[in-house]
Amino acid sequence: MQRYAISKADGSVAVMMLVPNAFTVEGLRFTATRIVDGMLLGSTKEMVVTPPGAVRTLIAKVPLDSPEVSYEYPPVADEIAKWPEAEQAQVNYVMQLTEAPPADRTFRNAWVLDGDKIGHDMGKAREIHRERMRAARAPKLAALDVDYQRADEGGKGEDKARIAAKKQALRDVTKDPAIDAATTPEQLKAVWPAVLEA
Amino acid sequence: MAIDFPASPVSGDTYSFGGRTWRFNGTGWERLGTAATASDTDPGVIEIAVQSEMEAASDVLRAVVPGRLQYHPGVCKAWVKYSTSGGTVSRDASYNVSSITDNGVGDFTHNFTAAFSSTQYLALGNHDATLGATINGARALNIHTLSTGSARVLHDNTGGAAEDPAYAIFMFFGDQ
Repeated sequence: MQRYAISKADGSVAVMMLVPNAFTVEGLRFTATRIVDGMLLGSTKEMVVTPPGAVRTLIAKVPLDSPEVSYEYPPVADEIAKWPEAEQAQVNYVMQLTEAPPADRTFRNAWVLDGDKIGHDMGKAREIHRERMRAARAPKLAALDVDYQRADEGGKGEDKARIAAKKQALRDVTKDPAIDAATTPEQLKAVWPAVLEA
Repeated sequence: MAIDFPASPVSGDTYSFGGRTWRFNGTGWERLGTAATASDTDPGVIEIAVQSEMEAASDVLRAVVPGRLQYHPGVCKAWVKYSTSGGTVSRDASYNVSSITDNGVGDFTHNFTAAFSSTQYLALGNHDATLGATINGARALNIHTLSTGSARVLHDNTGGAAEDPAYAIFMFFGDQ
């Protein structure tokens, strides 16, 4: 599988995966504009191929994951040219990736090109993390509002104070200094106060 | 009078002489059989449908071959199944799709090997019911952009936020 990183004018990074458009097996090259890839790649099925435009000749069955089958890919520039012009205009830089993108997509929209691989813009990652915290706390704050109102109607001052403290703790989660102190996505992901889990 | 095949023929041209017919196959003239044309009830010679006949979708006397089936307007022109489980986006299977681009969370572009003739084509899709691992579950699926060579699609959760599907499928119908 060939993958390319494409950095865009808005600072984002796209990852394009190319699908093979030809393959060679036992010295015969087959161009196929319409490969059903699931039947050629990624499965243990065997294939029987017929040379295109020739007398029908069945090639010996070849396991699809055999190293004897080599694949060709369309040029990445041709693939970008298939995008709408407005999106093509956003392309700043294209680079083939030699290693897979990060497996953890928690901070996917913070990906940036870091040398010859994909890294993270920690500033963006922190904002993503804070947004995730806000989303997680919103229903909890709403529920506590109801609890507070009930405590107020029941004249339960101690309950009101306890609920108010919990609400404040929820409001403060995005101010946790550990967020700014985190220097890696893993450290940042670990910053998740217990009050968000309760 | 001798047989006088036309000069500069193109593949598919036919020439009749003396009650016999030949068809140019790109390199030479092949004599066609003399049997009667096949019908619903009678055996006989049957022609192979060409692209225009497939696209017209009305002929009932010509045969369809695998390499031209895709020209029929009722046939799916491209399909793709992709997933994000395990983190990395992967193409599980596809047909007439030359690349998949991960633009960001819940944002993917599918390029076609054979492009559509216009943007008046149909995109149908779905994604898994357990979309996302965080909030709201699922499930809005939106077309961001349809161009002749690609389709960009967005996956959202019920809160309206972009979210990756564990897996998704798309089918495309139209004229190419």
